Amino acid sequence: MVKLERISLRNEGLKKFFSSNEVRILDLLWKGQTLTSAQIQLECEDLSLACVAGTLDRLVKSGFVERKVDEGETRVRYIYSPTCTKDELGMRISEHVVDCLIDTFGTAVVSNIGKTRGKRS
Amino acid sequence: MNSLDCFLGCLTQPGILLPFSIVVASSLSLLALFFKLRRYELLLGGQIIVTVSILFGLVSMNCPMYQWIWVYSGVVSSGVLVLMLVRYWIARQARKNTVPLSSFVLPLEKEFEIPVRVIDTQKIRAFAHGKVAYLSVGLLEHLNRDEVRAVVAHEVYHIKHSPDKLISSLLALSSLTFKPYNDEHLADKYAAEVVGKDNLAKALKKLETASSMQRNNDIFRSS
Repeated sequence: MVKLERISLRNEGLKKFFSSNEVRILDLLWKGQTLTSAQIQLECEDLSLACVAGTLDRLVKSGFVERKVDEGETRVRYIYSPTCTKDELGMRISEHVVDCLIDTFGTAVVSNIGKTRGKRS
Repeated sequence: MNSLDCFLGCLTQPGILLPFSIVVASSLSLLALFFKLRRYELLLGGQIIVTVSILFGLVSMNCPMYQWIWVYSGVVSSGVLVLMLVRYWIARQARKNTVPLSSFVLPLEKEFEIPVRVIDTQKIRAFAHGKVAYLSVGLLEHLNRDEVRAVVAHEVYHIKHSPDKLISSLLALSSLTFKPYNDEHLADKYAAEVVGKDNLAKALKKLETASSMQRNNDIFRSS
């Protein structure tokens, strides 16, 4: 799950919760569904091989992306796919954040969410 | 008289000075030969002589130098402990993160007669640990079969010919000397002999690290 200490509310969009490289790769995977690292590298030409590799390992470790090994006689490669859609990710992150806020501030958070919702609608 | 003065006093006594000089001279000769011939056995020999003479000196000298014995034992034993922990951690991590690949790895194991394990990471990694060569999936993705053979041949050299890292580090520590030998060039030379210079050069070029580029140049220079 996204670590709370990594949340940066000043950033735009998903960059609040992920690094810009992670967001780029997640967007590619949501668009392409299954991609090899070579395809990802092709789309992120400005990033080094080591940077793409490190980011992919991190996303797999944190459970947002999964990979399986495609093994042939002459070639081995990973095939990457996202573990959830963008909407599901939004649900997972917001649940986590709200849980943490309720743990800290109790029912005040629930009534505040209700108020904010009322103002917005 | 403090223990250091006593120790230095002991060293300059005629009965001690001669053997001490012989130890220093033989260690320095082995060191000089090592730098000339690049044979790590010479350095290990020198380190064994120094270690034995340190132990002999500490035990036999009639000085109140217990604190020095404690310092020496502390440095060596903590060094050994750290090295063993690092070794254990590397082995544990490598075992934990392997992926089973058969059709790609079996021919390599057969050809080089060593176990080859594949680490589950996109990063490009290759190393030898114990009697096993470890390659990452990232490396296998990036290199073709002949280039992978070059990398495995390089690791085979380390497994079969390089000194055991734990023993050589232990000797460097206990002799209070150093561990300067770097046999990466020899491993590259061996790999070039086994799989051909072109394959090794291509593999090194693809790995794109500054050090590998340097080694690449060295290989062509030595041909």
